[in-house]
Amino acid sequence: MAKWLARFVDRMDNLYEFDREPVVPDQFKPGSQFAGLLAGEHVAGTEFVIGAFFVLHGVGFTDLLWGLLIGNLLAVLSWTFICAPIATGTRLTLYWYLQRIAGPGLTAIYNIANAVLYCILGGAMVAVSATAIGLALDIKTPSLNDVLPNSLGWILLTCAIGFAFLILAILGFERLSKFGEACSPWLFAVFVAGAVATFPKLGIHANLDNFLEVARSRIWSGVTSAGQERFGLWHIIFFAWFCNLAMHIGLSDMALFRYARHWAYGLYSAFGMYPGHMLAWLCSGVMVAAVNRQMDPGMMAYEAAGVAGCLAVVLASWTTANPTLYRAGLAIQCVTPNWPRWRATLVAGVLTTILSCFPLFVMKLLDYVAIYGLVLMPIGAVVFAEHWLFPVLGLERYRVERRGRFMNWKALIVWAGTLAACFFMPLHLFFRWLPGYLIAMVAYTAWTWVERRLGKEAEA
Amino acid sequence: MKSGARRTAVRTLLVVASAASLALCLAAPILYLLARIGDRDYKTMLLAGTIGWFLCAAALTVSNYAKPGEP
Repeated sequence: MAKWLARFVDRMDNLYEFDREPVVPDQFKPGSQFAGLLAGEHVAGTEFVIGAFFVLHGVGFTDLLWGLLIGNLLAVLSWTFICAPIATGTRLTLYWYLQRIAGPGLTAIYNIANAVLYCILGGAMVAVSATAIGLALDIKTPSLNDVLPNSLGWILLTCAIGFAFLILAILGFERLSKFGEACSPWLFAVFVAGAVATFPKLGIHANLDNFLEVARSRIWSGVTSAGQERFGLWHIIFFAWFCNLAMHIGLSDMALFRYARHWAYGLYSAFGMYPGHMLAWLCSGVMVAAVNRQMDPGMMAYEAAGVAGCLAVVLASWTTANPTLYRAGLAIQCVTPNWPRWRATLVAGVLTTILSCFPLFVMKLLDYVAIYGLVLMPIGAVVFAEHWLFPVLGLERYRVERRGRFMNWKALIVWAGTLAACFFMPLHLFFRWLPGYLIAMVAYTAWTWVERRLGKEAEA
Repeated sequence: MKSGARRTAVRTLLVVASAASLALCLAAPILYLLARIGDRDYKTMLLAGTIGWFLCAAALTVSNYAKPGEP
């Protein structure tokens, strides 16, 4: 097992070799690039589902507005004060910084976990786009409480879309991702167009004088749909905050912010949170209200924006699934000796396609997003503790690297222990990550402090 | 005209055309809300803007990757 993991680590190091060196000043990017990239990255196919789910969960209009304003602000502050300062301080990706702190072994395990989670997310994207294409082919989409595929047509459709996404990812990831970036202003326009064009169907006047009244009575009415739990202000605040937990608190976006001139560039994430998430979620909420709260992103978009709406669902899903497949393929390539990139992407794509057949992942998307962030969050806490708290407490940093250790067992146990603690917490799933983050940070710091103090006493 | 200058001119034209397509996508729902056009016209306008945007986005992507000297 240890030999296998060591071989895996060697291969992974080779794959990520190109960004092993810290970014140098002449590679820094201007703020406008961060604004554009972050705004585009946060308008995806899943926004059609998330905003609609807020309506189904009976969120009130005032709670939704305040929740999104506060939650997205907390997310922006997390990027600005947690992720960006570490990224600009080290100029490294999380992958290489984690190697210094947790050792190559734990970094490998982290990568595998990330790959599996990416495949599930990719599967949800494929399922979202299947609702749009299924509409044209008259294939029945799964209902809200479906866990397993409801028809052979659905299975065939998701498989066909999954393979189409996969072939595109294999043929040219880089060009397609550039094309995907170019699509983002159009996606944003279709979200806004769909919502505005839905206003007359909901009875909103052209001068918008009754907008608030209709919003409170017909869209975010505070009434839950059958079988849905009621969400309030705190649910929305926490969801908006943890929606990209793996990126900010989990520090994945170190890869992006290591190119920033200053840590304050984290504030550019507001372009992704407000015109991106907040507006897209509000727009999809309006659209779902006009189709009698049926959770069918394809139909919602078609009713609101016609063929362009369906295209938006497919494109928004694909532009997110494309890098997801690429990243998952990269991780799989590490465990498969001498495999070319296309074959590793193929395996990731097949797994993603199989998962996409199961409506569970898209119909429980809010819970899955919470679990995704929760699983990776303790590693962010370990890195934060070692980067900021260790110097304050006079503890030596990067001991694992200096001693050439393969695995930081303490970090692994803290990771597993935190997840176990979160599992048993008597709190709603959405709220567990915050105490979990504090537990992981305190446990890792305190354990290291006690261990080194005992070590010093033994030496004395 | 040298190929570099022609390239810049084509790119500028594509950027202007893509902005116009996007404006069409945003104007369509407003005209529909104001009851100046019907549902069918709104969706057609949106689709026309979409096609325009995609053509421009694809052309810009290709031009970004074209090597100097290539058309």
